[in-house]
Amino acid sequence: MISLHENEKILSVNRKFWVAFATVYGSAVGLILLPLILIPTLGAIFPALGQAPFLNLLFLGSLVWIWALWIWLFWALVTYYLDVLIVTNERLIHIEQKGVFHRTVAEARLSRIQDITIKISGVLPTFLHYGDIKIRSAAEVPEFDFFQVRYPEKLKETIMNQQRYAVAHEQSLTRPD
Amino acid sequence: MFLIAFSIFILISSLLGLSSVVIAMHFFKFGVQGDRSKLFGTVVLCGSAVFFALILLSFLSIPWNNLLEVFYDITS
Repeated sequence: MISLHENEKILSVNRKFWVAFATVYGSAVGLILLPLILIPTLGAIFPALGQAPFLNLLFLGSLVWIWALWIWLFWALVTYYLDVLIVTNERLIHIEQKGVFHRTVAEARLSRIQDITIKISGVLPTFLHYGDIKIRSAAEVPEFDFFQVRYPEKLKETIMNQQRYAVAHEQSLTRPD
Repeated sequence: MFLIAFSIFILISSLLGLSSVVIAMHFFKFGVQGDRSKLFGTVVLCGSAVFFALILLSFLSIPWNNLLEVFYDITS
């Protein structure tokens, strides 16, 4: 779980649009259905395979296949679902889950955000309102890139509004009395 | 024959079971407050438990030591 500072609140949690995961999901569903086609075909070609205990053997093989696909599907879901861009009232946190054992976490204070670029390219992204967002900051990680996020314009507005509040707050703290 | 099959069964089940535990741990540990990570972690563990139970039952239903004899009987 994300550890928050005192008085820090999460304003927005952004993930890639479901389209980014659709190819994996679709492939997994197709491959899961493969035994339903293969077993009757093998049974027709080799009638002995259509009887017990060989049918049980094929059923066992199918179950192992489906379990392996189940694991593969959730393996891919880990890298999709744990890739997040979090906007709090203090900072921007970008978590990139590049593989199951490869994770990077970068954060920048909102007052350090300099500019944001969004890019929506293509027919499907235009109609479904998803695209890429590039955030430039004066932090150690100078650029945050987040791809295929839903409503990037709204996210840009949220970040820029919070950046203005953060800058105004810092200026009020440093202003001499 | 049974021992060989059982060894392969244990190896594959252990690999897949361990993978599901690792995936669930990732969801439980690295999720964001209020999202569906805990749900996904629970689903992957429960699904793997169901698959393991089905595979175990299926494995036990096969007469491993008599498999070749049954094959000759069917094909003759």
